[in-house]
Amino acid sequence: MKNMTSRERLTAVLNGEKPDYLPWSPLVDYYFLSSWDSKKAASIIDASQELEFDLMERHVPTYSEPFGASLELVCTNDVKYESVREEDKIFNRYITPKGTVEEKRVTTEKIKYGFIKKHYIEDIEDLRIYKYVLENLEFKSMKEEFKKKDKEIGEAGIAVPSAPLTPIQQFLQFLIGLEKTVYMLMDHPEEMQEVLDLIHEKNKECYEIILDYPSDVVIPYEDTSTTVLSPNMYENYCMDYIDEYAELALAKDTKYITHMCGKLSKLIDQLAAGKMDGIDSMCPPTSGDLWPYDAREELGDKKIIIGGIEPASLQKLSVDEVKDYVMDLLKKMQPGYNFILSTGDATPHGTPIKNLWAVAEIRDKYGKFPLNI
Amino acid sequence: MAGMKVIGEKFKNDKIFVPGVLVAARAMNTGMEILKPKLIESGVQSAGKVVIGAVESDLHDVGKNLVAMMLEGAGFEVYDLGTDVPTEEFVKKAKEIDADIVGLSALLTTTMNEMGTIIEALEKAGIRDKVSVMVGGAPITEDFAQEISADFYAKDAAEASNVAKDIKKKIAS
Ligand code: B1M
Repeated sequence: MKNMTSRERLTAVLNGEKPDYLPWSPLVDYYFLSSWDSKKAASIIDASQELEFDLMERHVPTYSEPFGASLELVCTNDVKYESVREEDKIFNRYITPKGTVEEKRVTTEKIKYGFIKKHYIEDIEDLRIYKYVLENLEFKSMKEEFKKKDKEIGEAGIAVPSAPLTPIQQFLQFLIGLEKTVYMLMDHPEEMQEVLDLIHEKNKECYEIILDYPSDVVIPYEDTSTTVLSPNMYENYCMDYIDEYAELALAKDTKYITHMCGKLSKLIDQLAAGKMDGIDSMCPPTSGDLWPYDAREELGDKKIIIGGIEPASLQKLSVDEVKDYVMDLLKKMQPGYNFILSTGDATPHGTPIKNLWAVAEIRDKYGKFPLNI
Repeated sequence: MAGMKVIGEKFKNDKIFVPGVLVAARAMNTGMEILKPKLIESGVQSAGKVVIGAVESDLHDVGKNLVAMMLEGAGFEVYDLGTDVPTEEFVKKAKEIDADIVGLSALLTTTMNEMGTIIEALEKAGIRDKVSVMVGGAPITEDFAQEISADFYAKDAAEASNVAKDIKKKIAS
């Protein structure tokens, strides 16, 4: 018999206490929901009830790019921001006296907010304009909105605010893109470093705001992995920043868990030495390359691991195969301390509902804590 | 170009990572800009013509770009159609340039089925037996490639370049 609510169960794990059952908390967002015909789940909260999982609702109350943080960006002085929609395209611009930087996004039926077709920064001139934007950027807390959503979730789970990405990830994911980031770091190392440092300062302002939200945990959507980065780049551009942010969180008694959904096996030593409290969306092969039980050996017992199920497998396997997959994972994770069973990133569009129920069934049958299968 | 082969092998064996491949590819391209006119002048032929792109609704291009770079490094003439490429674009370009290889990349389980549609369209356009279709991307497997009647599957960029060279050898023999 379960004797904790989803909120209590997740909170227990995040605080290093014993849950009644292992939490099952897949990353469900509108990518998956948009493929679900059922009228039963108009929201992620509905989905958690219908599919019987412990909800960790991400990006509450929002996800403001390019920082990737749950707060509002405010342009000040003579910097203006505009967003213009033309059919399936969205143009986002920062207009400054030094010039304009613009990103172009393309929307699709499934992905309404669009994907970047052209980044804000394409050359050194754009970098200089963006630096001016940063110098005139402020942040506004969305604590009240966070509290409202958290209340709405109630005992179904917890709301999690997103913390800003490391500066290099903001370059890679939103501002410059991978290829040009690599080349600009080679061609303009000083100016790039100046902007990285400035983003870092801005990030600290973001942390001050977000760590004031009533949450036990913050997650930056780092996506750092050797899928796109090298261990060297992690060491040079991520590690120290992550440690510094983890310390800020620690000072506010908040867990700092980095979302890292790609290949991590080649970063395992750096992650073990890192100050983050845990890793979110740890993904096994083939999208990722690290099973939580292998990670556990390297990371030790203290770090929280969230993940373990490869999203593509969850979508493609049969119900029986899903059950075997999860059983095997739970067996190898026994006794299950500091572990939240989840997907290694977003539950895919079109994942069969019966596969998600299959995970819930195995968790209910064998997930009593401490695991003893 | 021989350097890119070394890079490809190192990348395959996790000795270097994506940023390293990008740096090497840029060095190669800089060299090629100087060499290209001289190679054309002296009558050196390209290894073959490749049309490549990420299939419709797929916007992931990092892997596809690496494959394109490795193919260029192996001496192929590469026509990169970018991302979210509609089926008819692949067919049109393959016809227009008389391609030897059509390379399809997909990173999403929701877009990988587009690959089968493109192969059917190449068939309908009457050029299926003139081009070899190579597929790849994180969710793609050898089995899936066979299922959709693709000719070749490559797991990574280094393998893609080796496969392309094999295809050319087969055509030549
Ligand atoms: C022609 O012959 C060949 C031969 C070999 C070929 C080939 C062609 N093409 C590739 N290869 C092979 O060679 C390459 C080099 O060795 C290899 O290429 P890869 O592309 O595999 O590898 C690259 C070198 C590096 N790999 C990558 O660059 C992909 C990395 C991950 C993190 C990723 C990224 C970066 C992005 N994403 Co996306 N993304 C993920 C990826 C997670 C992961 N762990 O892989 C994946 C692929 N994404 C996913 C998702 C869900 C999505 N993404 C989306 C968007 C994005 C970004 C735009 C943010 C960004 C792409 C930026 C860009 N310019 O490409 C969305 C879809 C957008 C769209 N319509 O395409 C969105 C739907 C997210 C959302 N909820 O909105 C997941 C797919 C799951 C699934 N079931 O399909 C995903 C696995 C993440 C996850 N863990 O869940 C081989 O596969």
